[in-house]
Amino acid sequence: VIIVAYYLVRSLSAKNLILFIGSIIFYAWGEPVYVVLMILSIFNDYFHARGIAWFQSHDKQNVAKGLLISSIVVNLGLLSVFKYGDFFLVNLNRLTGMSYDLLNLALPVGISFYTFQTMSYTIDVYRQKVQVQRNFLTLATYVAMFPQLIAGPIVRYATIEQELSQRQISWPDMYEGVKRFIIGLGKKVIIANQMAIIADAVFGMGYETRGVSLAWAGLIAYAFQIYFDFSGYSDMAIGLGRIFGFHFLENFDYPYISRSITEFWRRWHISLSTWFRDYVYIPLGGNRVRQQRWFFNIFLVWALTGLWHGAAWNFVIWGLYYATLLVIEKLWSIGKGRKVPVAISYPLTMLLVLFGWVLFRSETLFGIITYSLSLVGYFGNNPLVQWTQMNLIYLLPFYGIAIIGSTPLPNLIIEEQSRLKYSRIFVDLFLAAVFIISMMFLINSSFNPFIYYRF
Amino acid sequence: LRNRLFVILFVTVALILGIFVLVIKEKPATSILENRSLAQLTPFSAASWLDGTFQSSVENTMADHFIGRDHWVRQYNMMQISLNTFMNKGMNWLSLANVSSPSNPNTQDANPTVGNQTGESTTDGTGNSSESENQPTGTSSPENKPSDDIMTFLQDLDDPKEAFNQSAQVNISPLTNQLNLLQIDNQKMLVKTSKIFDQKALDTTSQSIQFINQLKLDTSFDISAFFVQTPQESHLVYPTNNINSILPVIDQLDVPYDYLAINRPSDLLDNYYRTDHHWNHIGSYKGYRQIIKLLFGDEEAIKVPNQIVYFNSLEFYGSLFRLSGNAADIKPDILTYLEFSLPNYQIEIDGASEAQYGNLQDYLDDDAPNAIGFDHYNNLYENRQALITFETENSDADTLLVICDSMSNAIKPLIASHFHRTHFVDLELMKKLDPHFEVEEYMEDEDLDRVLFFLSFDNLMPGGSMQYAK
Repeated sequence: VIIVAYYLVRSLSAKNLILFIGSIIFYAWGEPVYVVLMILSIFNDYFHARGIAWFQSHDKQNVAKGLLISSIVVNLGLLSVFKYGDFFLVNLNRLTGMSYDLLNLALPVGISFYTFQTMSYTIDVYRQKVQVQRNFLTLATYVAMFPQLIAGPIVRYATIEQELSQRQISWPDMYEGVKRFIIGLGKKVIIANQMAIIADAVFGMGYETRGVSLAWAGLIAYAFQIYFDFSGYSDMAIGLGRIFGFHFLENFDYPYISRSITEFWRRWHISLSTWFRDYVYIPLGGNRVRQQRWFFNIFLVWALTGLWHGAAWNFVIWGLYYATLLVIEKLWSIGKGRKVPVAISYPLTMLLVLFGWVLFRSETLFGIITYSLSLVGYFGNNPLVQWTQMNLIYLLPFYGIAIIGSTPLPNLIIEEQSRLKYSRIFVDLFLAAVFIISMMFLINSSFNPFIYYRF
Repeated sequence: LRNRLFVILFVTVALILGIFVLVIKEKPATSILENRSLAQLTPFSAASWLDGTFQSSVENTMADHFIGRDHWVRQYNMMQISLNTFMNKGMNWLSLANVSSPSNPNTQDANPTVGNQTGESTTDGTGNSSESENQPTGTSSPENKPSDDIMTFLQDLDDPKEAFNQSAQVNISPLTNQLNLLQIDNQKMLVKTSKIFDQKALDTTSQSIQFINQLKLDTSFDISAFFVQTPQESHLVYPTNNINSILPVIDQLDVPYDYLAINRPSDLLDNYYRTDHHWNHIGSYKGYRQIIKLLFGDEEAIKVPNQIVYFNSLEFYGSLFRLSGNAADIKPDILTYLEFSLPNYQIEIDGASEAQYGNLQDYLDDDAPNAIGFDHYNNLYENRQALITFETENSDADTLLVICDSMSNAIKPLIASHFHRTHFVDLELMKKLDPHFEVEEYMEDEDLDRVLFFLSFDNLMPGGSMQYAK
């Protein structure tokens, strides 16, 4: 309905208005109360950025800096209260033996994403990388834009600054948008949700009955689930953005073909890692400092990255785990030009990434330990019958689809096909089939929210 | 042009799929295929918006009334069946021969006595008396077995058909994510995916048992428990579900208990429908005999059926067949019914007086729905209800509260015939009817003497109805 209304009006401001209203309705559908919080967040950054620009234009850099700090404090304050308040109180109570009442606030959907977006806008205005946006509606359209509002990618203002006030919408763009949306839908519904059945069954079963084969199958399934779930959502967001005339940056670049942890993080959740790089790591000095300070910067950034994913210690451990791996990689290669053969580096990287998902998925230290023990066969093996009993056998072919789908192979085939005369017909038929199969899966599935909703 | 065509087609289809569902006025209330009620739109209000119920109802309504939903469900199940068949080709996922059978430590099957048929009017289980006893109830439609067969039936209960190979190999192959196909000596049977008997299952079972023990400690009620081991809880079907791991937990019960065990392949085929998750006339009668022996300590009270009614004109595709989206390759069951001489009852369902229990007469009149996948088990007896009470004129008899699940449907009137008042409570449904329901308080309020927990093992475990016990 929003797409139809969007194309019925001609002026860009009317299009932005429709997009904003549609986005607010979309958000209020899931968060009827916290929609107010998001609007307050937009107001906060709108006025702070206006103030920063005004004081900078009047050579009052200190006041502008004060406003920037004020804006960051408000943004992080909202995030702290709603996302980390109870985490802080629980740990404070544990440490001090006190019993402060928990806030018990529900986590507003997408708060981590839109807070990081608004912060990047205000910081970029302060750094004079982008022009201040004087039109509140335009800024609000950027922050609230529904395709990427609740689960990313984190779209920086600079990326779509031009398109917010001047964009061309063409049929080929719309076609590419629809195509990308359908592919994203298929990734989520056909692959991620099936992998989720295995992952949920294995992670949810009693640890003493989780043998080595099921443990590995469940872990690999979870690795595929989280990739296809999140990259599927990113595809849908990028596709919808394209339909509305916006070009968002890519968020994933086949992370499971990486040959090092550094490469993995260049390919995984690109918008988040580059956000931390540009707004935390580099301001801390990046790698242009003494080695100890450099490693401190890495550990701090990754602890924050972990914490961004959730208010729980396992996420912090997960972040620090990657910090450790990155430091080891850097120590290994600094000035030595060492190269590890692919036959070793690839499986080693995947093993390390897989173990990272154990830390990510297990909610307690006990869970991490028992799952790790399952992986090394401490609880024995599972007979094949358990696969039957858990009714997972029919899902095995989806591993094959997931393996192929996580490589550039399908895109290469499509590109190769595009040289043929009637290739478009095949591509369109393929997309129609993916859409129809996705419908079939959707109708038969229970509620399967995107994993990154909760971040 | 091609770009435009594709985009316009996609947007149009998305619009139609999205809006059509919400604007159509005639929305069916139930799905026969899935055996469940379908979501309906909640009226819009500020309150329903703020608490999210309106949004949920819109989403559920769109999913439940999607254009051609039954078709999509069937296609989905057929896809799963095809994938499973493909994966199963040339691969024997399970061969279960020679799995040792745990023994039932508590009791052996009771030997019923023939008799106790005089002095009571014959009823059809609906509370409606008929003129004579031992007279076939069926009309020309159902094929009535001669009463001589009752003796054979009783003998077969304790001495299963010799023709059947008791060491038969039980093979299982998955069909859908909720369903497997059993093959025992070329006979097919559907069975649900099982819960895993892991520590969580044992802990929850233990909590269920402790609830019963605590009730025993806190009150002076005469408490008993009877459990039903269903195919999905059998080690014959899922070897890792060794009942021996659950039995020590069950054995913590401080009250008399018993259970209907599956010890051999014939117990699967004989006691249960092949397309439905409920027991048939044989299984339910075995269960009844054990319950009466448990409650009264002797076999004299056990009633003997007058006749077995086979509804041959119906093709009974049960709940498990529906779970396959009506796509499993299996022959239908024959719906069966045991007719007893039963007293007159006053029946109440959820507090409202009812003339009959179930719809037997429709079946005898050959007037029962005959759609594939229709829920005949619950229609013949009675749908699951939160509270069903039976009252007989025998005021000297005890009164009984039965905490039960749908397995009891087949024998509720039969159990009730031994008591003055019998209250059957389904805890899961009772939660909706009376969220404050508590067993002890209810017993006192209703002045009941005895309590029987009559549940499938499944309902002691995570997600089972005992989680609602208070």
